[in-house]
Amino acid sequence: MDMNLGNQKRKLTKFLCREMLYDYIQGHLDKARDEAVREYLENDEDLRDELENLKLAIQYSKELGHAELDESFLKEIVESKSYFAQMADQLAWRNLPEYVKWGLEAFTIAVSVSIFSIFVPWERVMDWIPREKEPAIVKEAPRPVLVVGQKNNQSETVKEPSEESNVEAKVDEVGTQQENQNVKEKEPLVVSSEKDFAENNNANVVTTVEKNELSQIQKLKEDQQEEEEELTEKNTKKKAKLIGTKKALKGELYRAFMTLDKIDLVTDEIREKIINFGGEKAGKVRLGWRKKDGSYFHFTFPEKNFEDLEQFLKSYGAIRVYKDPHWRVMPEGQIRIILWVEDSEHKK
Amino acid sequence: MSNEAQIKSVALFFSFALMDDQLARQATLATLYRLKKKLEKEKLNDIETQSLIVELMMKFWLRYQKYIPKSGGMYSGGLNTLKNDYTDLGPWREFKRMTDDNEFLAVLWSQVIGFSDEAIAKGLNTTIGTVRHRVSRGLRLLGERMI
Repeated sequence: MDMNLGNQKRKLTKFLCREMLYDYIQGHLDKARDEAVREYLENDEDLRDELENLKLAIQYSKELGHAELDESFLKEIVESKSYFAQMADQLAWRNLPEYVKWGLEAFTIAVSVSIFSIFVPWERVMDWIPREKEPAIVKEAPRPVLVVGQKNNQSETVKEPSEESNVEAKVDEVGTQQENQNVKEKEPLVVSSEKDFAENNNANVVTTVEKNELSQIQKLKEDQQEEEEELTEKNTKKKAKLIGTKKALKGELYRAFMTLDKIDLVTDEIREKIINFGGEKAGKVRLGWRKKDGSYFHFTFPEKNFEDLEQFLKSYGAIRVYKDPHWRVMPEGQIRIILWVEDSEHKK
Repeated sequence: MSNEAQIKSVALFFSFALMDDQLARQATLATLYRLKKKLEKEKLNDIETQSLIVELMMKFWLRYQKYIPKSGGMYSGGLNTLKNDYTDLGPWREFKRMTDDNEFLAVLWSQVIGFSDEAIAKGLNTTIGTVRHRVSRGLRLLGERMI
């Protein structure tokens, strides 16, 4: 069977005709094909049945398309929200129970405070806060009181002076009035060598106090003040600056007192011995500065030789040694000693 | 395309495609919500709207048809989403069970919902000839079930 497409004729098979039945029904075929399919259908009963079935299917589908939706379903669709919208509504703050709201608020506050406390640089914040300068309060170290034996090495035990409460110490190479008061209050005057003190540290007996020794200490301090006056103006200012600042008393100063006769001879011998043991002048004045009532020795000394020096000095007579806290810290292995040897003849 | 027409087309599609009240409701609501969001952003003509609806229907049908029981979710009664003017769904169920998904959906969009072949082709990202071929084959199978 020929088809005409325009002036051209096409051959149509059953298969092709079957495939074009839907387009034939819908009117999608061109004129030539439409005519060709019509002619084929007239001669083929099977295809006519298929065409009828196709029409029934189309009709049935159209009927399904005319189905009305249930009103409740329509209403549900119109009023409904999406899943997330429903969830959002349920999770809306206004709809939450009170206890949940309180819990969430508390949790938020706790987290905020934690984060704040962790990440804020508190060290820097504390630096920004102005602080008043606190006076340096130094606890005066308890003075070991030494009992020194006489020339015949008799030793007497003493009671260790009572410890002072915190005392504000002035920086003074010579010593302070307050220290004088402490000395007076303590009455440490009967002393032994450090070695004896170590042996008799459980002693509880207090021997007699000599008032003139207190005056000796006072006088020593006056002499030390004189020494300072002999320094240059520059050094004096420097010292004043030092005195103005309150430094922590981390160092130690040994103060020793002796009363001897033939002071001139003794002075030279002591000076020579100090130098031989490795001592060096520490103050501005010469070692064994001879004054009218005694000799003044201010020197640094190797700590390891201190006992030897002490033994040497004891050979001349009784010696009293105090160890005071001082702002100046000596190098390790070195100590600083101020030795005052009073002239017994002048004392008389 | 009016809002009511959109709602009806989507509801009918999922009712006849899933044959399950609960799934049809969920799929309809999800599709309409997404359609609403899309249409708020841009204005489309009828063809473009239909193609967008086809695209969304396809997307959510693929998502929800996984939840259809193996038995097909068939039941003797009608769909509660439809009014109770009895429509024999027997041939339709048989058609759904026997035919290919592409042909089934093509018949549903073309003949039941009434979308144009051009909109269907654009929504599925295929050609009009392919859509018509699928519809033709689908209707032939549906017609055999009508006997």
